[in-house]
Amino acid sequence: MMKWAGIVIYLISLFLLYVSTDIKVALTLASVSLSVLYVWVVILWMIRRKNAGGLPTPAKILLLVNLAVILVSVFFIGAVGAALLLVVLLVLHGFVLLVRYGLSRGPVAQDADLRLKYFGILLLGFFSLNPLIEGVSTSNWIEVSASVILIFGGYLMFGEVRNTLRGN
Amino acid sequence: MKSFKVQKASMDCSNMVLSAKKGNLVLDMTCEVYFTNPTDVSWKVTRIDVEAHVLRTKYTKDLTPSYTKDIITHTIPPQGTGEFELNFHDTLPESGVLGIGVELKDLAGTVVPVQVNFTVYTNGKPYVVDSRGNTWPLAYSATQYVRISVELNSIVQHIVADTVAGVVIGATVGAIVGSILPGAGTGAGAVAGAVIGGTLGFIYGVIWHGVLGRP
Repeated sequence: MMKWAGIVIYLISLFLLYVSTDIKVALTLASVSLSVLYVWVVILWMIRRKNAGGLPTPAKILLLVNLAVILVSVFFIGAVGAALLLVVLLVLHGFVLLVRYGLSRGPVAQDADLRLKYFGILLLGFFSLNPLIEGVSTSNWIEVSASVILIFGGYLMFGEVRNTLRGN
Repeated sequence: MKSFKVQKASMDCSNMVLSAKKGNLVLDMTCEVYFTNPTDVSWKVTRIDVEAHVLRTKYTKDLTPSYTKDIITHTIPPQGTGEFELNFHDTLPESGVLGIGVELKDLAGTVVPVQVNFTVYTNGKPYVVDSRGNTWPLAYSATQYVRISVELNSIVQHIVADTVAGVVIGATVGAIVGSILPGAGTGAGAVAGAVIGGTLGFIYGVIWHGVLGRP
């Protein structure tokens, strides 16, 4: 039951965004948050098992769903918008390179797990900032709650993935 | 009995001014509408029913902006002219105004037709009977071409300011993220993170304001 709480809350926040704004905003936020989650999970996996090959299943799922969302965005937002969402994913990948560089220099920090927690929350918060500000300035409280719930849902999903990877 | 022919009226409009407010367009325009009394009896205007819209062009979509009306001439002598004023003021989403592939700045100086159909009621009836017993229906129509003027500065400043803010916030988040990332939690990591975050902020700003057209 707990396993799905993150996904359910995440989907609810996207639905609320769709209701309070439009499909374009919901798709954009879905794509950028999935990009954050993907990079988040990949970095987690890097510091856990730095020598193993291949991506973990959750990361693959996040990537595939994200690519599907970007593909759908072509029809709703347009080719330029979808291409830019892809660029966001690529730029976020810069953080993976940064970690790879860091790990080649030295061992994982003692409190790496705790630090990694803030990584995704800060980035999700950054992307949620625009709908949050828009919601506050137009008194669209559904949009405001949706942007906050999105961060919470994303964090719960990451927590679930973290528990799964620990099990391995 | 006269045929139910819609009579021609004339109209005089200001420019249609479009300005930006939180990603939406604010439309302002004033039109004076004139119509004649072709009969040999005097009219007491009790009501005017108006239907006004901006007709679709290559650049703009069909618009039915909201307006308020003000009847100026209440009594019209035989062969005289009646007048009323329409004040258009509406907030419309940019996507609801512009045609496909048209940018707001392209609209400045273009000309769009504004059509006003109206029915005048005298003593509560949409027709009058003259001294010879002829019935005159009081349906009128007027079309006027209106020039659009765009207050572009507000829009451009809006987007630039917010995108710069996005870059700054992105760089800050990136710097924090870079400094707390495991293995990269150093000053150099913070700088690299700021570059990544700043880039993200810029791209996200372009998506949010430029592509999505959000406030």
